[in-house]
Amino acid sequence: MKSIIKSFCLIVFTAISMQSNAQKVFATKTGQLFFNASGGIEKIAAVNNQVDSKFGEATGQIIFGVLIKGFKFENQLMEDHFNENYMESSQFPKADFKGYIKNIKDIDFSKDGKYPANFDGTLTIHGVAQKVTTVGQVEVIQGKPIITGEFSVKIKDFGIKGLYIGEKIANEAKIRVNCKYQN
Amino acid sequence: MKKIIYILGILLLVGSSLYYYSFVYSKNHHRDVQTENSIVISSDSLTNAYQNNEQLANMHFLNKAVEVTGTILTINNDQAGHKTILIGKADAFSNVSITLTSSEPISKKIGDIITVKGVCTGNLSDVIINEGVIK
Repeated sequence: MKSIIKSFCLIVFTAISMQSNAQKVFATKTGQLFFNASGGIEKIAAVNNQVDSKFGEATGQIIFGVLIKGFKFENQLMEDHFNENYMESSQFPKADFKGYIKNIKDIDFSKDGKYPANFDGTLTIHGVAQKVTTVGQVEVIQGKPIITGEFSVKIKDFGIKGLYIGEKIANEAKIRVNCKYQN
Repeated sequence: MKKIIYILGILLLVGSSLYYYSFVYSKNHHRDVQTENSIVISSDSLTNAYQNNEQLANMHFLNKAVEVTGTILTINNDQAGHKTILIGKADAFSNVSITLTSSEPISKKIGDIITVKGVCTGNLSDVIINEGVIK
């Protein structure tokens, strides 16, 4: 009898330990990323509605991935030039950010609210990786987080060449992220 | 004098044609994948191709029109309100995620077989198809 109780306690203890160690992972495959590199009167802007992202509630580890051919421009010619002449998307079909939300412990996912979030990681565009640190926001609504943020990247830092950078096309592109996660 | 007017006329014609093509025609005329010849493939074959060799799969499918058939796993809307369908196998590591051009409700339901034509934009967690139209 004693050994049965002992075994039962062990099973319960193990189950509780496993549960406490399990990390909740939030994910989306339909996040949004807005790109704006307007340098003059002409609007050079696009949206990607298939951002693939997930992050761990305990560690703050986060990843965003986008396909370059998934960016939609109002102007088809602009979209073609973006893919062929600048991003060379056949050769470099995706871009990603891998890093951490450094202050993940300050975010209470059980309580609705808006929390500042510090992102630190590596952004890879056009096959070139660069360290990026930026501040965004995590909004929690009924246990589901929404990450928003905006930052700029210097286009030439990622080895992107082409005519008009610094003229019609801005030297720095503004990137805006809006991802609604499920759990 | 006649020569100058002639040259100015040609320059004006070329300039206005370029302007029209760049800023008017290109804004109102987008690529129509539905008019293009497509690669006909099952969702399992497409995901297997990407899982086996992504670089090779991109050479075959990236930016190409594909007509893909598979079982509907989920039907959702993306954040912009477009209808999205995930097709493939429920226990598969990767499936095919399709964004439809129309946001209208679809007659098919989860578990049904569906064929969609769209453009393949590559592979993330799933193979991504854009501008999908149900066949």
